[in-house]
Amino acid sequence: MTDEGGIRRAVELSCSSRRVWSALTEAHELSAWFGAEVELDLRPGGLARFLWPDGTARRAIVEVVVPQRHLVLRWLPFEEAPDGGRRQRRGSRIAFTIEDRGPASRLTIIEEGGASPLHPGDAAGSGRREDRPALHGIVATA
Amino acid sequence: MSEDPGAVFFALSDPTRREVVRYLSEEGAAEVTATELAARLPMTRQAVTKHLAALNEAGLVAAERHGREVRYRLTPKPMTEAVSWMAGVGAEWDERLDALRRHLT
Repeated sequence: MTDEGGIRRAVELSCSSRRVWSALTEAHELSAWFGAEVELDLRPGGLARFLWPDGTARRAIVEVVVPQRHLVLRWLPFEEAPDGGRRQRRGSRIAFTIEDRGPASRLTIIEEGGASPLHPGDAAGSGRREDRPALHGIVATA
Repeated sequence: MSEDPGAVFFALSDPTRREVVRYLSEEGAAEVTATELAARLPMTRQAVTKHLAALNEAGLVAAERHGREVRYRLTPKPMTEAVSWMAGVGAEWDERLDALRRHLT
C-alpha cells in the first residue's frame, strides 16, 4: 500500500527495459497481457481505450511518456457498457516505472485512486479538486 | 459515487485525525461537537474543527447543525469501500503482472 492508499507492485523481469517498454506501449502487446483489447495514442494527452472480453470499455488519458522509463495513465471515471450506457468508476491513475538492472529490468506499478501523487495537496486533498475540472473537460470532448 | 480511496487514506494518514476517528468510533452512533472533542483530546477546538472538516471532506464524518452547534458522527462506509477497492485493484494487478511475465518469456 502506498501513502495515498494505492496499490504498489514491483516485478523483476528477465528482459531489457526496451522490451518491457514495448510490452507496455505497443497496443497489440498490451492487449496480450492486460486482459483487455487496447488502443493507445502514446503521447501526453493521448487517449487509450480498453475493451474487456465482456464488452465493457474504459478510457484513459496518457499523462506522462518517458520512453523506457515512465508511463502514466489516468482512467476516466466511468465505464461504458456494450449497450452504450455509462457507469461511474473511480478515476484512478496508473504509473509504470521501469528500471534497468543490467540485462534485466524491474517494473513498478502504482495505481492510486485519489489525490494526485504529483500534487499531494493539503489535508483535505486539494490535488483532487484541481484534477477534476480538467478531467471533466476531457470527458466532454472525448 | 463514493469518495476516492486516496482521499480516505490521505485523511487517515494524519495521526491526530486517526485519534479523532478513534474517539468517534468509541462514541458509536453518538454525535459530538468540536467543543466536546477538544475537551477530551489534547488539542484546541480550532484544531479539532480543522481535522473534522478534513474528515468530512473525505466522507468519513457527517456534520449536522443543531441550532447554534454542529454535531459530528463517524460515517465509516468510505473506509470499507476504500479497502475493498484496494483489494480488487491489487488482485487485478497480481493477475496482469503474471500474464506480463508469461508474455515476456
